[in-house]
Amino acid sequence: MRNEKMGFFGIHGIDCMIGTGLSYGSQIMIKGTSGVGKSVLASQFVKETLACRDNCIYICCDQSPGEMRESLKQYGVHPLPYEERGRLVFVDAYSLEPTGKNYFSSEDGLEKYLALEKEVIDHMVNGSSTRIVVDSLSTLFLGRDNQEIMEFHRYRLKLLKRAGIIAMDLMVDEVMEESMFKLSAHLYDVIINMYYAGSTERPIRALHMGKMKSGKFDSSQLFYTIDPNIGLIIMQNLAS
Amino acid sequence: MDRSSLNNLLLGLSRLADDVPMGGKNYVEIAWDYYIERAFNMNIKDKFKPASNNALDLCNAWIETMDKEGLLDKNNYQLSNRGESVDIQVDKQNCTYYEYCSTAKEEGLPLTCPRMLGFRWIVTNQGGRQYQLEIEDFVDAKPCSGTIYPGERIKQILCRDGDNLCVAGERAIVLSTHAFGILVKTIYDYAPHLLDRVLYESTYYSSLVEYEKVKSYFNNPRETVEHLLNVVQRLGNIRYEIAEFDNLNKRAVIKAYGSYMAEIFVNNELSTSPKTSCASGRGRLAAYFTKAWDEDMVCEEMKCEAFGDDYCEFILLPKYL
Repeated sequence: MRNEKMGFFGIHGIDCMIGTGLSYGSQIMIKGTSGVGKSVLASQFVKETLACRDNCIYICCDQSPGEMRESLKQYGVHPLPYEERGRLVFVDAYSLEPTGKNYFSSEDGLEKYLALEKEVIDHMVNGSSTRIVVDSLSTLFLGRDNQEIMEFHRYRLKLLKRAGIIAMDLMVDEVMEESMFKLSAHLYDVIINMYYAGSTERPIRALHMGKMKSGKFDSSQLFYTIDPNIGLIIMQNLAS
Repeated sequence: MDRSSLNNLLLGLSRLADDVPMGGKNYVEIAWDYYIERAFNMNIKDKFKPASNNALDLCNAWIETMDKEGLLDKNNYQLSNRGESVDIQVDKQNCTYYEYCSTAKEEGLPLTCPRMLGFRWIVTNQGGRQYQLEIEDFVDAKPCSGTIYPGERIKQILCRDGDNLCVAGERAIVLSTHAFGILVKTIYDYAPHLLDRVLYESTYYSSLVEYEKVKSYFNNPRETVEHLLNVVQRLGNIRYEIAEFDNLNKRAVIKAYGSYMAEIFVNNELSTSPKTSCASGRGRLAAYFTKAWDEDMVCEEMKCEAFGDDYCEFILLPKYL
């Protein structure tokens, strides 16, 4: 075990790629096509977060918090005890009507989102590190102009870095323009691309690390499968 | 042997039973059964004439014969039957074992009444049916009370069976944490994604069976769970303490001390960073409470000794919540 606390994904093959781990304040972009398994990866990341005794904020943009709770249960974490102790907080950015204190409407401006995110972070239990997952951030950007998105990006990620929070932002390929991805990419410390490889008839899920700021990472393509109870399983682990 | 020496010898037996894995009260009872059997065969057998094989008749014949042999005073006993059970009261004022019982209670050692065990033994061995003994708590100001009732003995003692060891009637093996650690480390090296599930599910399913095996011996789910947790402690795996047991809402909080899994995780570096490590403990508790409350229960570990916490803390709650 190392002395300085570092963050991991909780998925063995990916954790091997990032070597010594992520320092707190790192920002991760998970980019991929719809249905490729980004939310499953995020569920495992939440499981890892809670097992490491970190706090977790989960911003639900593509499904309701209730659906996300069920998803976590499926992968072996019952969220309720963590929510009761203030270690796990869901923000509902999905529902059409307000569902509680932590609600964000897609019609609201991004500055309102920033205020809500800051408020939730400030209310987390002190003394523990925090990680935040936005699933998916690209949904928040729908219908907004590129300049607004870039300003939001820059400001938000600076704030999170300063607060020492590991942030994981999920991005759906089909929702954002490729040029926006390219512009956003330099703001992140780590980028993981998830996609379908193989032939159209027999697609196979794959991922690779597109960037890690330290430069110390393995960019090999990893094939993976999704187990309904475990989540992502890197196939190289099955073969070893 | 004078009374004081006899009591000291018995206290030694109780202390040993406390130290032996899977020992405890049952261990003391087994030792007494051997003693009573020898005493019966040597001194009583030929003179023992019960009116019938009914439990109360057997008990009455036992104290009559022992009284005639000068081994006890029948006036110190009161017997009454309740169905197939026999209620027993023993006047403790002149009891030979008073010092043993009071000291063992004071020191928290496994304790059983040698007098009442005699009744259990004679009814079981002469009546042809297993009887068990339940003793009320030893209170100085009151006579000792207990009941013998028809029931199977729980096969939970670690014992030798020829060349083998047995736990609960099944062949057992003893592994050091080093050997078990290597086994777990090998799973981690070859299938890291499976380790948690292997530890959780293997314990979960075996614990469901354990609960089924013993539940009929206890009056309610809490007693059953307490017994099972006690067995785990006696095996030296982990010491559990029930901090909350909410029957109504089906929620429980368990504290655990001295987790062997936390030790194995730390010693074998079974994770990339420190994390809650007691998947097998979670599986065990989820299984016991699933059976106890007849509800699909899950268990979350909120604190863990692998982090340097003073204890591991587990929360049990229904999966549907």
